[in-house]
Amino acid sequence: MDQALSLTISAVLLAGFYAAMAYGLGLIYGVLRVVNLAHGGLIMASAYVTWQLFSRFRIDPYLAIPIVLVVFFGVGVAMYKGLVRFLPRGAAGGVQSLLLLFGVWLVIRNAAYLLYSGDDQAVRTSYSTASVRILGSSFSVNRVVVFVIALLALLGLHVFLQKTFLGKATRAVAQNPDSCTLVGVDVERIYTLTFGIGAALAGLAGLLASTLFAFNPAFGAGEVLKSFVIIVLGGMGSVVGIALGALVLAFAEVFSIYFVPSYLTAAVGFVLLVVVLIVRPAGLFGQRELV
Amino acid sequence: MNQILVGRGVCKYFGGLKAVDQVDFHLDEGEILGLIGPNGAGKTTLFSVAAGSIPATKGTVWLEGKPVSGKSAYRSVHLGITRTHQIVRPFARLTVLENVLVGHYYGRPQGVSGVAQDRAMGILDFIGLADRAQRLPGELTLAGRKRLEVARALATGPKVLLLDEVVAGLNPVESRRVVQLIRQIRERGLSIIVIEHVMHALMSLSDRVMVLDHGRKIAEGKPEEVANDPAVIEAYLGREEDGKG
Amino acid sequence: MSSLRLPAWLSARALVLFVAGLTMLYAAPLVLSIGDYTHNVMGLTFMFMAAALAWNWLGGYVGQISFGHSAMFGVGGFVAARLALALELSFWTAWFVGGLTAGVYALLWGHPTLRLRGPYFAIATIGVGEATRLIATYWAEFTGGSSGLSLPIGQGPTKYSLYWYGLYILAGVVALSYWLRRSRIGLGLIAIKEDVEAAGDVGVNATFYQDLVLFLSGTVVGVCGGFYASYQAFIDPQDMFSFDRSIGFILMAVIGGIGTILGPALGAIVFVMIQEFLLATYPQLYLGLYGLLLILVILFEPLGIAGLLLRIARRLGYRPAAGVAAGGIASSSSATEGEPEPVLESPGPGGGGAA
Repeated sequence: MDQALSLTISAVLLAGFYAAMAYGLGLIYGVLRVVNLAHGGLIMASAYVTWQLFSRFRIDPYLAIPIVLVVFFGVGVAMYKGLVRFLPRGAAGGVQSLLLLFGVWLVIRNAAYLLYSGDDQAVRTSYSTASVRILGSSFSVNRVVVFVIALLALLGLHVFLQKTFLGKATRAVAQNPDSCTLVGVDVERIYTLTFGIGAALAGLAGLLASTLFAFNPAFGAGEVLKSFVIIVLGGMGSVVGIALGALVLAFAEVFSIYFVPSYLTAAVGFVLLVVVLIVRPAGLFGQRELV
Repeated sequence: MNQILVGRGVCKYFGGLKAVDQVDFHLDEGEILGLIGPNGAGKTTLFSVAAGSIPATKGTVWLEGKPVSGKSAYRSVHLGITRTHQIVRPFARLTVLENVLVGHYYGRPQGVSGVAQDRAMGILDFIGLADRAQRLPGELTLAGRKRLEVARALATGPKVLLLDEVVAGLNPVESRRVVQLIRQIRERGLSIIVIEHVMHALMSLSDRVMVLDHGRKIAEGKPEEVANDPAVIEAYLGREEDGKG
Repeated sequence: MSSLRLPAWLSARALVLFVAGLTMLYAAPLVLSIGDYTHNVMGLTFMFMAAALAWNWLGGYVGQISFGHSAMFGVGGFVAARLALALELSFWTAWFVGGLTAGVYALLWGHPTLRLRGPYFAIATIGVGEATRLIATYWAEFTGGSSGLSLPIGQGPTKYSLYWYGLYILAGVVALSYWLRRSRIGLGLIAIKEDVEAAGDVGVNATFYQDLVLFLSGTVVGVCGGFYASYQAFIDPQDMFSFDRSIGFILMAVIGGIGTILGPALGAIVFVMIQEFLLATYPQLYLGLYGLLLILVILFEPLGIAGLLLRIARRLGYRPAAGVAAGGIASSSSATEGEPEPVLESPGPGGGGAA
């Protein structure tokens, strides 16, 4: 019983991170219909940036958040303006955008290999090994802080999308870009903004990941896959959907250790993805058709 | 009269939206049935259900006594019912001839008799596109693309043909020609259901007319009867004019 | 499809070019003095060309981009290796059985996922590839885990003779590519790629044909895996099932010219050449270089190197027949506006234009 509770809390903490990680991908896809395969590369790059800021300039990773957000927002904007906006919109561009951004991911990966070695790195702060007791079990401080930050980020996004004009315009563009043009919304600007936010979120996810996991230039493939699983599970329509999807995945992974050896945990996500896609193509909560 | 296509209690619900609600219909062999109704009445949805493109929520459609409503689109085509699309969907990177050939090769499970090329060109000739056989669909006018859609459907060798707004968007000369064409298709032995907003075309073409509104059948009968039916008039005039017909 | 004299899928010129090319390559090592190293690398290149062409059946003809083809490569390789070790079968049989196993495996995960379109299918294949790699790496009894499997020297073909076996495989795959493209199946595949729903509405059983292509693609790639095992006389799961390997197939086909026949073949040659060259001098640059090439292809030349060659050929006055439609990644909706998409079809490795 104790273990189940501990695992549950573990899953919840993990879900927070997953949700933040998935949201960037989901937002870009929801608004632009573009699959940002460079998402994994951005996460990895951000992990390295965070690590550098910490090891070179002694900036605590969590304090580096504003820097990372701004930098990666800029990267996202640059990626959109320099590359993505040349692709055809809509379904026709789906696979092309996938491959294009995949190319970007390869370039980012190579840059990381060139600048750093292929070895694992991690961000170890003075409190990395400290732990916190929640409901009788110990959890690493980092995991709790990551969870809180992720939650704040998601809340901030929710408020942005629901309450601000730009946020509402973004949601409108996701639903019907042509109509938006007709009512005077600058769709290109929204696209640029969205890509920037998506990249910034990837940056945040990378920063958070660097405090939790070891990483190397190949980091990111698993994360993209999991993000996608979450989007399929929960839909990209809302923060709540992503949060739910993240919870489902996190719980599935954490509790799978009862059934499956630990090295196959990563495969759980994939199995979940395929099963959901086959059984309920509209996602677990009945949003848009993916088929 | 032999009823070649029959639908009983056909329903198609999209969540809470009842696109088609308890519709009974039949098509006699060799008949041209007109299907009209205000925008959003459920006409194209009914086509999609009858042709197998989407499954019915409830109810059944039979073709020559065999159920087709639960089958996937390609199986329905093999059984003998083919539909065209309201917004034409040619295979953009195949030539006009190749588009028709796809219908020819895949329209019947056992294949259709005759040399593929000859039969396809014959259909294009009948339709009036033979001189543009090597063009790409993008090079055709709208009228041409609509004809291509019909030609491709004809190539599948159907017994029942569902034509979705083939006349809409054409000028009067083109419209007259298409109406002629549809009559000729019927003379070839097909039974046809036609969705149209262009009223004079549909009324002159149809042996019988069926009217849908909000997914339900509100009238059925000879064109003149339906045109004078108060319920039908109200359905059309009781809301904003769409400017057509 | 426009020729009426020969079988629909065969044109005289293409056949001549094909046979000529084949003969030249067959005889080359016997009449010219090619160094051992180059000879062996050429043999390996033939295999990669075949694998890229097979990937292209699914990616270019049907339009479903697979990021997980290394799964079949590995399955084919390990099944072949295990059979060779356990039963001392002839290597052709081992490769063949390995290939079939890979094909069946492809169907297993592919049948339910193929109804996903575009990016969704692609992402699912990333998962397949990765899951397969994980399972294979830890299934040490079968794959040897991180230590891999060694094939005994002396049993099986020599690296020297693999040149010709690779050539045979390539010849078969090119012929099959040409047939798939030019037959009525080819038409159906293009219809599926353009608009799968409209294809169904004219009677195309999209599920069956996609499954068929996936099976063929998986089988061929599996055979290539067996070839690779024989070539290296050693395989390990981290290499065979790696994401990088899956990426390799995509790069070869897309940079070379997705959807065409010449494209993936050229792409494979370029891939191997870059690999050999860069490995010696700048080992770390190859990923970035591929990434850059991929970006350039998507933005500027959707038909990759083959497309470039076509442009040059056009400048020189050559006009390709508006026959069977082209490759390229964009689907129909972008093609119906403005300029019609270029139509291109290419014969075997010996030729450079349409027939």
